[in-house]
Amino acid sequence: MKIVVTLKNIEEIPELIHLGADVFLLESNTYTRAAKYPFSLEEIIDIAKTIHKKKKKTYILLNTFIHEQDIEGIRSFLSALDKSKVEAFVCYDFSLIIIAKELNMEQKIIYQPGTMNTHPKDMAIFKDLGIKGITISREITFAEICEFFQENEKLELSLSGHGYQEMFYSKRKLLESFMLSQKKHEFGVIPDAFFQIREKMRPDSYFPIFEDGFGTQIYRGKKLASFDFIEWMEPYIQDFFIERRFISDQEYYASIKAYALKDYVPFTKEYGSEYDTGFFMQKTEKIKGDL
Amino acid sequence: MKPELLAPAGDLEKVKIALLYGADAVYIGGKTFSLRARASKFGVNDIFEAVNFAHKLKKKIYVTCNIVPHSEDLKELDDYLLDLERINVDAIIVSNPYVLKRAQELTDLEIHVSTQQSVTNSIECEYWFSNGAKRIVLARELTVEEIASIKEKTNAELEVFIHGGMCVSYSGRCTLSNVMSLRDANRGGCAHSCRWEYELLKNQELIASDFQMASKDLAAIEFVPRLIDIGVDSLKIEGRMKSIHYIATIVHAYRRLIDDYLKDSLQPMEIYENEIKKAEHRPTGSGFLKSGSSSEQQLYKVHQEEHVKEFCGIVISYDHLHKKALIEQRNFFTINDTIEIFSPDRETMQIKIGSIQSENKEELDAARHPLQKIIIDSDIPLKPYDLLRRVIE
Repeated sequence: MKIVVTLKNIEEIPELIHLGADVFLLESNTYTRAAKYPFSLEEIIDIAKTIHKKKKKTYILLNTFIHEQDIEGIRSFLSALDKSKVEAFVCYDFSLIIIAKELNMEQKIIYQPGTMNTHPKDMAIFKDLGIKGITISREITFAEICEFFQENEKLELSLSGHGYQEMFYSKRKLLESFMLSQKKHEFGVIPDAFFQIREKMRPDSYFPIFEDGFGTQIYRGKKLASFDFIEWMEPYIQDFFIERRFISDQEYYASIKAYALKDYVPFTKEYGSEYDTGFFMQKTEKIKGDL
Repeated sequence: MKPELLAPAGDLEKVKIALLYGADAVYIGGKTFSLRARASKFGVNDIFEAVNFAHKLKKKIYVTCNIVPHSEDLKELDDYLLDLERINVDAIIVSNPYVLKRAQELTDLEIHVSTQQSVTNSIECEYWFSNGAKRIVLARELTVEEIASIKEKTNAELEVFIHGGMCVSYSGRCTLSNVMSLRDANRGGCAHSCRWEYELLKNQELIASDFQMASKDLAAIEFVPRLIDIGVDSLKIEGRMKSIHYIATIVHAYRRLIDDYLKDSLQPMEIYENEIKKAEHRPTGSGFLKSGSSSEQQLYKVHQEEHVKEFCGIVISYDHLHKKALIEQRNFFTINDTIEIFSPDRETMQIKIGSIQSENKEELDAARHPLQKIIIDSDIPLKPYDLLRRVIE
């Protein structure tokens, strides 16, 4: 299992390798929404060279929806990065699989649509599409995740298993719209601030909310930790993503170290109260009263 | 080309109303694979009855199978798909690749790709089309001109939402309900957490106690002519949870709009807008059709639906000899109220309520009890499925 980390800047590479990072996930300033550390195409090409010299891998996060007017641009972007030997593109939109196929690059696609990879029967279809792998949905239980491991399809599986987990993406600019409607202009400069929402019936739950040019994302209130489950999943998971948004460098480095050394006690002592196990042990109901 | 007008229905009565009031096709959800399973009244036998009713009118029934399934949900899939084919549904609406594949392997059902898949470009339309889907229900986050551009480049039929409530997120990419209520938004359990009120904090400091993220309902009246010109194949109304009055009113208004435009007899848009406002509704906007997201499309401090006409009953039968109509009551009305007769195939007319009797001919001063059968006088001949709505002064 490779530990996939989000890179802040080129200077950080040695430190992250020292901590145990195997793969560097780079955000694009064009096709990554909610990017914390976005890079231009030229910067990505440069950084990828440095990463490859260190014998590590480079993935690119492409988590926007591709509209008609984006198609030519994303084709050029993928082609340019194919030449620079980027190992994978982590894609949110299904259409990126098809565009990559046109470019004979489908073997570099990891399909990571957030909510959609909820059962293993789809694996054969993605295998036929020739992609590298899929990221299992965050909204299913550990038992349901294990069903993926029983399929014989030769398709890489990955998991976003640590950090703040996205639970909502809208194209609408919900913070800006609200502030405009309320004439709360003094609360502007949205990308530089840390916003949260709290529902009155759930006063202990604060849900981070982030807005940029691509729209609005909302995240679960508690961060996810996979410490109790990772040992069981490790033989089957090729890539383990550690999310970085809203997390300090210190905490982020501690989490990488914990998974790399398989020593979770120091991290849990320091940060454990802010984490839970997400849906690993929590079923959801289809009809009110099911559970 | 004349586009299909596609309406929602949450039960058999709504199917009939939607079709009688002008829909060319109706989409319904079953009890298992639908995103409205929570409220579904459609077992296979009910779907069969809906199909028979529609086919007699040479109209169509589509069945949604668009949950994002977990493994446990798939156990019943094959039998369900075979049942739907056996009872001759006209198409199924799917979002999951495996469900689409099984439908192809097991049946000859026509397949539409759900808006849950959030298709935003022609390349993906072509992919699903070349892999067995006849139609794509486009993402709601598209402008009219983006839709036009997609239509030029795809062989797939395109279906576009024109009216009703909308997910504020990209469809299928919201699990607010899963996290906050443990109800799976993508398997029919959505608790509509996006419509709740929240406190908003900036850097841990409370800056608003009434943050809302819900969007206005979509009303694409002014865009329908352009969508027809583009060649959009199906114009879709949302609202399987809505009342029969809502469905009849909205369907009828869009039916008139489409037909008037195609006959070169388009009325001022206010005519159609005023008709639509007679149904219960939240404030409406144009969604993303015009220019993408803006604060004008958001809904703030509105908790109740508005309407200008109150639905008060549906006609069961009419006695031409005695000029009396048997009505099933839905909302309160009283003697001397002015009632509008809303009918699928004639202009609206008004009557004043002179007398109200129970089914046993007891005189009543008002109709107070929902679903009570009552008798009213009407010199205007009424027909089954005519709707009565109280004119609010």
